[in-house]
Amino acid sequence: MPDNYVGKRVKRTEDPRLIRGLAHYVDDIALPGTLHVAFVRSMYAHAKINSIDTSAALAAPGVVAVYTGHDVAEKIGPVPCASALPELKVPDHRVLARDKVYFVGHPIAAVVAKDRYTARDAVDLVMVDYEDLPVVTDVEQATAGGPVIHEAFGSNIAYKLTSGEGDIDAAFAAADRTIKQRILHRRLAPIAMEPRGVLARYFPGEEELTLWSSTQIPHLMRTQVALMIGMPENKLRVITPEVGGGFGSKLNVYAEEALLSWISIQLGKPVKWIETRRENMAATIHGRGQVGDIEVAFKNDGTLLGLRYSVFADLGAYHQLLTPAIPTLTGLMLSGAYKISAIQMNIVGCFTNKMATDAYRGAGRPEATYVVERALDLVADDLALMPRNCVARTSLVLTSFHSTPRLVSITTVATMKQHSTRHRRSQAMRICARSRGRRARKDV
Amino acid sequence: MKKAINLSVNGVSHTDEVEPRMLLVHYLRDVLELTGTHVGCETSLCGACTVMLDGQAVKSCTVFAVQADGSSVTTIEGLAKNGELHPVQEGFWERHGLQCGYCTPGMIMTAAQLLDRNADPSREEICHGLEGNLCRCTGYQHIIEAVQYAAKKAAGS
Repeated sequence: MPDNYVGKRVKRTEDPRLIRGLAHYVDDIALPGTLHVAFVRSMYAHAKINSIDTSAALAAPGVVAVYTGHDVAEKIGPVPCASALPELKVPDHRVLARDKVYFVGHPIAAVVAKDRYTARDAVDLVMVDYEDLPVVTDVEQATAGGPVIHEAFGSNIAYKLTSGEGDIDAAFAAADRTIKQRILHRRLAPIAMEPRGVLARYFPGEEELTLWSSTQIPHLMRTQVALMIGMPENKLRVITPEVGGGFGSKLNVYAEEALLSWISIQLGKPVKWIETRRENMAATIHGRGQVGDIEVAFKNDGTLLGLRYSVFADLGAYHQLLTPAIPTLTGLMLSGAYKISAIQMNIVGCFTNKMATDAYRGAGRPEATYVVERALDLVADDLALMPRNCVARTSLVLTSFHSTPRLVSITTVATMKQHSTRHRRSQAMRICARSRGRRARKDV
Repeated sequence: MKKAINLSVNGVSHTDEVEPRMLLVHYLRDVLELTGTHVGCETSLCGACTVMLDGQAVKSCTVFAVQADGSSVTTIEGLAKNGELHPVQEGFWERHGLQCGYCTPGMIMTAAQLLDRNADPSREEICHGLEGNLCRCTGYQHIIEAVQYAAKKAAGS
């Protein structure tokens, strides 16, 4: 068997349908009687909503329904955040905005119509009276006592967290030299080639719902959407057809997935929403968004004693599924492949008037790589060494865990093999135990 | 006010009444149910919607269906002949020119037209020819190799 694959070219089994245009992404699935949803989204980063007038949209031929935040607030539960951090502030994130909008792209109303052109036209007929509010875009400005986004919290700080290992103060006290450098990890839009898309079909007789979504996490979504719309989980089926890229941006449970499900139940019809690219840029999660200071303590011979990374994390206006957790992953990876006796990460998670940041390609960990590699370059530069001659670089620990167990270490191929064999074995045991349990229950 | 159009798509002729503002890509996808042509950006930037209009690669998200009246359109579904893959399709499969596959139909149509015009393109000419098509998965290297494979294959057959 291995001879057939190891070192051989393997052709992908999914390619024939993809290269012939015969594969099905969400928008390629057509159900009879499908209604189309388009969203009224905020043009303002921060504003009060004085009123929403949907009458003209509702009167337009082909428009079936228009839902606003107040229509659904009591019907659909909040968009979930799965991160648990000490004293984390979690704003009440509803599927549609009610009295305030917090970022450009914030959904305000859902227009349902017989086709996608009519739905899009009717979006322009919904009149929203906004009252501009001061906008918080910069993370340092967010924490400097300016306007507060979520007034109930009293500040724009969602959480503060210090993590690390070793005696960082001792490391800096013992250092011959120290360097401090401000670095930026720019906010970015993940931009999968296929935008997000949802198709929901409720079967009124069976009281069952099938939800097609371009997602990376159908299983988790099933649980969460069921909770949001108050439906027993066994009545909800989530199908993920072909997905045209995600890069983390589809590793989430979004407002639209619950809202479309709920609308389908209300109207007893299949409803579809396919995100436009403009919506995708504004209202699908963003990545990165860290502004921080690297501080390095080192000896004259290039030995690294301590690394401190103090960062303002731009979380956006709301938490999506993993928003607050992403910067903490940076902390777990800060040592990179190097032996550094003391490491500290200080995070200030900040609310800003933007879409949430969340998992994007490595989810906080590429940031750590940049930090530690940049730190070593700074040290090398300061000591006029070739970067590769830095002591930290030459003291890679390849076979043993170093002194910072909360930070990652390199294992050899041999230990990785041991790990994976052990993992497989324990997994097999767990599966056996589970099936035994099932049998036992059946017997009863 | 709908307008009658008459066009040939993948060798089959169609007559339909469409709104003048209906995009060609929506006509192909929603009316003819040829969903292999994808919409990625709606603004001619990404090339996922590329089809052949009278032998020219065009981005069907910024062409109205009425503009295609009287024309001949080839979509990704019409590229394989008698069950045999077009050399470019074969190249994408052989050289791992795709991952998620969403940009692939547009990439393949653009590459096919590139080879129609220039049977033996240099690497630079391939890169230039594919500038209007975006891919987020592959990093493009395998796509270029797929087109080189197709050029070689077409020359050999």
